[in-house]
Formats: sequence, structure tokens, C-alpha cells
Amino acid sequence: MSISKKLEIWQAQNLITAEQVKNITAYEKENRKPVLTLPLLALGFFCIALGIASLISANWQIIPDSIKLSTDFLIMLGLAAGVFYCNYKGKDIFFEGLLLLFCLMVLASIGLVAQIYQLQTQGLSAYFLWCVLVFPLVIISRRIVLPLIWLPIFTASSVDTLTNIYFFRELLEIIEHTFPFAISVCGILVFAYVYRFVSYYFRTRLAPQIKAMKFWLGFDIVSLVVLMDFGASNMFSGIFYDDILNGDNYRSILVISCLILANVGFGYFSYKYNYSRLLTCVLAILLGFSIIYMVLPDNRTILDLWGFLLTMAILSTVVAYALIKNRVKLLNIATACMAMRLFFVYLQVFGSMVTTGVGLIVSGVLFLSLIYGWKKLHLNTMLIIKESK
Amino acid sequence: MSKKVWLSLALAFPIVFLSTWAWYVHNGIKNAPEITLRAEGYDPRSLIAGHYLYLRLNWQDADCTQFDDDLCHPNRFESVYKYYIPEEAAPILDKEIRENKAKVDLVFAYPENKNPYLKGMLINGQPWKKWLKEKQK
Repeated sequence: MSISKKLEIWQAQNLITAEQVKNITAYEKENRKPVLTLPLLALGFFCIALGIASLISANWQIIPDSIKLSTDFLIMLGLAAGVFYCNYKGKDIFFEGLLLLFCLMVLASIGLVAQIYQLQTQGLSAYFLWCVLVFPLVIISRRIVLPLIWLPIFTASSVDTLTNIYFFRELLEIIEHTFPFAISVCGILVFAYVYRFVSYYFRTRLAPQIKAMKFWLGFDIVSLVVLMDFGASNMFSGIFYDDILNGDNYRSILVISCLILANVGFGYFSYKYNYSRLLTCVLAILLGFSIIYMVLPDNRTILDLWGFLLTMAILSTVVAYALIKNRVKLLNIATACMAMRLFFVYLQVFGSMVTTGVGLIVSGVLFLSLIYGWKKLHLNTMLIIKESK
Repeated sequence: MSKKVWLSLALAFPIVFLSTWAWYVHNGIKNAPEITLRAEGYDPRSLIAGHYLYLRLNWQDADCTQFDDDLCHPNRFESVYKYYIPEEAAPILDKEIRENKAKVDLVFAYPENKNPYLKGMLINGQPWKKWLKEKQK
């Protein structure tokens, strides 16, 4: 419901006076957030950049290299001056837009230098160089957009660059052969540590950067859960590493022990500094389930069921968190996902319509009993609906 | 330091770095002696990827007298090089190298203690742009 309609109702109910309605309306009009401005501005900058790029590429061959390079640096200088001016004038949105354009221009310049001098780039090294060069600007950025773009590029390019080091390559190989999804679980754990430390030390100073990290951490976890749930039976059939307890495999045991210790350490840190336990629980579930994948028999139904249990375990944790923190929206989303996954498991595991039908009826009855029990035990009182506050 | 100073430094950093880098590479190429090495299509199926030509050095036909000690030094070079060419030239060069077996040479700037820089490409002994012009006449 819009604010004006709410004001009308409140006035009709004699909760506020006409004078107050007038004052609130005037205040809201003055302090309205520019909802459309930022996306339109971004679109505008994007179109201009694309147009310039098209014009340049249409005449690319006839432009001498020296002109290409000097124009490129002049554009960068112009953008830098624009960023500085907008910062000085306090034009926040323009500052961010130009900052983003400047960073993209830095990437284009790396490409241009490499192209003109026929430099041989290795893997994602050009992107890694870009990440290093614009890192101070990512820190300075006051909105989420630039950190959101920078983070995945930095992660991918730094891992790619690190693989040039023999020791790192060997380490990845050892982790990869420990248990299914070990590298992904390990990567998420490292990312979670970085996220926690940055949020602890720079909570207010780097708020948009931390928001971007939170988004990518959530995205990574959701992607991994979906991959483990639906992809494990296809990816790992027949290549399970079930020789964990062999005498030769001390390295796997060492890796698993380190990961468990790291998980415990993360939990302790979160507990000590009063952070939410949700991330700790999710990481522990991911680690536990992926380790057990290793000893499961090579049977599609069992792998499908294990994936289903993993998703349900994660979603149950989210539900518990939402209940404790009174996050109604999150609770609704998580329970809806649980119901959908429950429905899908019947299609996945049971073949015939009869078994699927019976299974669904049993699940429905279970749900209804749960609601009945919920009402009987007055568990709703646990929930203080935020909206009613 | 104030925020303005930090912002200026952060904005200047990529510009200074990139201009120094470009200048450094330019000087490296300009002042180093040249070396020409025979090359061939690295893989006919992926000879052209976008605007790049992938070429492998052919050390069997290399003229090692170009090096100071009259010895070839393959370990100082990459095994495969990619050479940027404009889009319209790509199919012609591809056909010439793959089907008509044109001789391809890569010209390198060969500085003493640095990696060699790929400087140019010759087709049948001519700079590729000149060769292409004549071919299109």
C-alpha cells in the first residue's frame, strides 16, 4: 500500500490530523529516493561506452597505434577528473557511475596495450592485473555495484594465477582427490573466513563491499547445494574415492582434519564475537555431507536421496534461523523451497504414479499434522511478526 | 591522509602503472635486436580464434645464426604465440596458411635479459599487411 493511501486511512481513522498528513506528504516528496535515476544513469553510461567502442572498432585498422594509446590515456584522465569533480561536489550517483566507467576503461586499456604490442597473456592474468589496479577504487566505492563485479573476477583470476605456482597446484590436487566437492567446500570456507574477518574489522567502513561479499557467499553456497543435490549422481558415479582408510591415504585424512578444525575455528570465532550461527551450521552441513559422499555406494537412488537430505538439512537450518531471528520473509521462502524439494524427490526417486501419489498423500498428511501440532502447542507466540511492530 | 588524497592516489595508480608499462614495453621492443623465426599453424581446427592467429614456432627451420652465440634458445620463447589480426584478414590468412602452405615467420624483439616480444609477422617473407594488400589487388 502506498504511503498516500495509508495516510488517507490513518486520517479517516482520526489517528493523524490533516496538518500532519500535509507535513508527511511534503517530507516524503522532498526525501524521495531516486529509484529510476541510478539504473537509467547506468544504462546511459553503458550505451555511451558501447557507442564509443563501436565507433572506434569500425575505424580500428586505420588509427595509428600512438593515437590509439594517447586517446585511451586521455579518456582515462578525463574520467578520473570527472570522478574527482563529482566527489568534490558530492554528486554520489555520478561519482559511482564514472568510477565504474573508469574501472572498465582500465580493463580496456590493459587489452589495448596487450593488443598493440602483441603481448602473450597467460590464462586470466590480464583480469588479475585489472583487479590489482582497481582494488583501491573498489575500497573507495560507496555502492555495491563495483565490488559486486570485482569480487568474482578477482576470485577466478587469482585462483588461475596461483595455479602457476607448483605448491598451490599440488595442494589443489590433493584436496580435489580427498572427497567429492572438496575444492568447492574448501573455497567457500576460505571465503567465509575472509568475509567474517572483513565484517569484523571494517563493518562500517566497508559496508557496500561486505554486502557484495555476503551476496557472493550466499550465491556460492546455493549453487554448491544445487550442484551437490542434483549433480552428484551424474558426476561421481563410478569414481568414488572409498579408499580413505588405506594406509597410503594419510593426506586425505590430514585434509579432512584440517577442514573440520577450520570449521570449528569458524564456529568459535562467530560465537565469540556474537555473529549469527547460520553460516557456521551451513558450512558444517556442507562439509559433513560432502565427506560422506565419499563412502556412499555407487547407486543413483541413494545419491539422489543423499542430495535431497542435504538440501532439506540446509533449508531446515535456514528455517530455524528465520524463526529465532523473526525473519518472516526468509521463513516463507525456506519453507516453500522445502515443500517444492519434497514434491520433487518423489518424481526423482520413485518411478510409478502410484508410489508418487501415495508418497505425496503421506507428505500432505504429515504437513497438516505439523500445522495441527503447531497450533495446539501455540508455537506462533514464539514468532513476533516484524510487520506488526 | 584525507579522503581526497586517497582518491587521487587510487585514480592515479592505474594510469601511472599502465603508461609506465606501455612505455617500458615500447622501449624494450624499440631498442632490442630483431630475430625472425619460422612458425606454423598450431592446430588447423582452431587456427583462428576470434581475431587471433595461433602459431607454433618451428625450431627445425630456424636460423640460429641470428643469435649472438649461434645457438637457438627455444626455452626463452613460448611454444605457441597468438598474433592479433583484423577480422577481415582472418579468413584469407587462414586459407593461405592452412591450404596453400604459405611460409609464416614471426619477428621478435630479442632483449638481452627479458622475454622476447612478438613484433611482427611475415607471410612468404613480406610483412603480412603488405602481403595482404598485394594479394587483394
